[in-house]
Amino acid sequence: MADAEALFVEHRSRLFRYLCRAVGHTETARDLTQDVFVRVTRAPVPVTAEPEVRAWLFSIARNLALDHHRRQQRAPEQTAPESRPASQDVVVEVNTALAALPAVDRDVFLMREVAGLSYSETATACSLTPDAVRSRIHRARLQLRESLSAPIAARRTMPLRQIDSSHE
Amino acid sequence: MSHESISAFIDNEPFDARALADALSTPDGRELLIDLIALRHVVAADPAVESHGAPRTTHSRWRMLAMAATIAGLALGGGYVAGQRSGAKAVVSSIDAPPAPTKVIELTPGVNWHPNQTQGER
Repeated sequence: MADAEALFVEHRSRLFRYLCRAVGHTETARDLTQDVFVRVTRAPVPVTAEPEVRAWLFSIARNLALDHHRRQQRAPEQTAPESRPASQDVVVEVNTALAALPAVDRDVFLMREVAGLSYSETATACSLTPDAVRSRIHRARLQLRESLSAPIAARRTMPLRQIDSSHE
Repeated sequence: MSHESISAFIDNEPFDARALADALSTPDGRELLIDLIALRHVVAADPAVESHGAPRTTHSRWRMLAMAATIAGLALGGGYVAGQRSGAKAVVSSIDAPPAPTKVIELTPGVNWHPNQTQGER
């Protein structure tokens, strides 16, 4: 059984990246990552194998992101927009496209694509079946392919390589 | 449906080999495969790296400089005022009363003190 705090330290970079994309705001993501840590140190750690504990960590992060979105819907404009140089326009474009996805599709996509969780871990974190995760991830990709056609076309002009975030 | 196998393939998840072969046998399927890998690169250009500290560091630097300047200003200002006040007190005290003696010399006439003979004769 992995120590949850050590697991958090191991995965905080992924948690932060996931939360950055899930809430679209770096400082908020930083705060929520700290909140995950607080929850991890206070909550009873599930006695199970590491993949399940990893899924547990991301389910905490997901719940915090959902809470944040609910608060934002009740009181919008509380998060100051981040000023970014023009070179980070793609980041904004990606965040906008992600925000347009259905919440569950966005979460499963980010857990796989940004955090590197397996379909099984993502299914556990989101209380779905692995088959549902498979379908939702593919559906999210098709929608993002449409909404991010310009940056995708630009990226295709450069050399590509197969990247797998689960092996970072 | 068969295109889901492309997603599973790039995710290193189990996939139906026949379905993948069918999907990649069409130009659309091959385009999709390349687009999904490009999408992965686009999304991987993540805010965690790009804004992990850059804007914050800049703000923090300016904030630190501003704080340092404020502290230095307060210290200088406070020192100046304190100096002015203590200096004024020192001037006033030198007028009102003599400084406290640090050494007392006792003179006994005829022993270690002799009147000036010259002045006495005048």
